[in-house]
Amino acid sequence: MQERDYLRDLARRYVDICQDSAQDQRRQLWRRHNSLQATRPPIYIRAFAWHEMSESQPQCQDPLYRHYEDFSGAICSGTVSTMTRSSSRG
Amino acid sequence: MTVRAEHLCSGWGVQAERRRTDDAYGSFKVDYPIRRPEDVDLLRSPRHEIDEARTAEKLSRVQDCLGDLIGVDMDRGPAYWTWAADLSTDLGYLRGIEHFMLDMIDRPQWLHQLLGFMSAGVSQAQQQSEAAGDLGMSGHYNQAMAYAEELDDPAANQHQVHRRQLWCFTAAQEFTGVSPDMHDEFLLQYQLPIMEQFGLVAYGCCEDLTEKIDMLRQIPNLRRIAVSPFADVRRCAEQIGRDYVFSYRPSPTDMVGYGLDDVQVRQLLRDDLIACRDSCVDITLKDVETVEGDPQRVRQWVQSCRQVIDEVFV
Repeated sequence: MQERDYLRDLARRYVDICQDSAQDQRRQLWRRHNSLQATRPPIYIRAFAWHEMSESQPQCQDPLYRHYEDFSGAICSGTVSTMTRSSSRG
Repeated sequence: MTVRAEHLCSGWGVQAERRRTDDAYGSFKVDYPIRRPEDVDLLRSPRHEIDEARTAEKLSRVQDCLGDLIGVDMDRGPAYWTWAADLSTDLGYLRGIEHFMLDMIDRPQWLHQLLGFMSAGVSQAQQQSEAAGDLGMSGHYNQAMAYAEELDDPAANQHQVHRRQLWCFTAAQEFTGVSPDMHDEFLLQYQLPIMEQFGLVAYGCCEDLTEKIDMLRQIPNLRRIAVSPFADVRRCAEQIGRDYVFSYRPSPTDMVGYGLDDVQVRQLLRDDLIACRDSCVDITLKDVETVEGDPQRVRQWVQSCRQVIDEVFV
């Protein structure tokens, strides 16, 4: 599969995860929690050992595609709750 | 999917070379650019300026590849944001923790001037970004999920927003070994003008803030406090109460780093969560450098964690 097709496949899977109705429930949970309302304690997996996962092996050589491959791949593999532009530290 | 703008100005105009070990995941030693007091004259004042040509090319390529599948967000926010705006991180890279700790005693006025310069520079770049209409609702960041009823949700391509509409994340990891009084004098007083512009603030990453909760109460819009693996959970809970969100961060090593001892994990979580159950607590598993190639371990940890939550928060 070409890099571009591979990345597009990851993007489709990422969209499916985002559109899961469970995400709306999680957003609402965090909204209430961060507004100091009583909720069940949310759990947040910030990231873990991505380089140990087989999915982390790069398929894309293009540096820009590689960046989005890493982002989408980590989300789709279930190794993180989210990744943001600031997640590279701490 | 967010495309980050390319900036013409980032950093402080000097190179902090990193000397790395041969291990790809090993440590590095920074060659600090501020070796002598007069080296601060080498620093440049930050400004917000986007390389429009490179940014447009990047955006075009992502839109061309993925735009028909997923919304593509253009993040035009400033380079001086989160880690590049907390002052502590860059001070560590510019001067070195071991050196700025001595500067607090040996040349306090010099250090005050340096922090004042950095604080004003970060504020200036953020102000310029805001004035240019470049701040967007995807600029939210709080080291967890950036939702709150007081603020609009993160959203793509909603620009021309103000800092008061956004979360601000600020840390002080390099000051973990600094006393509360000196942390306040040499860092917090320079972070405050930056943080006060935002809607809500999340403070702390891996540093131990146990002795600094009172100090943090000066932050008028503070909402989240990090309680790291190095902190005293019980004492933090006594001080934080329900005034702020208690971002509990158990040690990743104890949790999943080397095997998964379910009995021990449950006991550690149970003890800590009982100590802070009257607070508005969430649980963050972070900085997991290894699961020994066993991702299933994290899923098992989540199940155990949920069961302990059910026991403690009945």
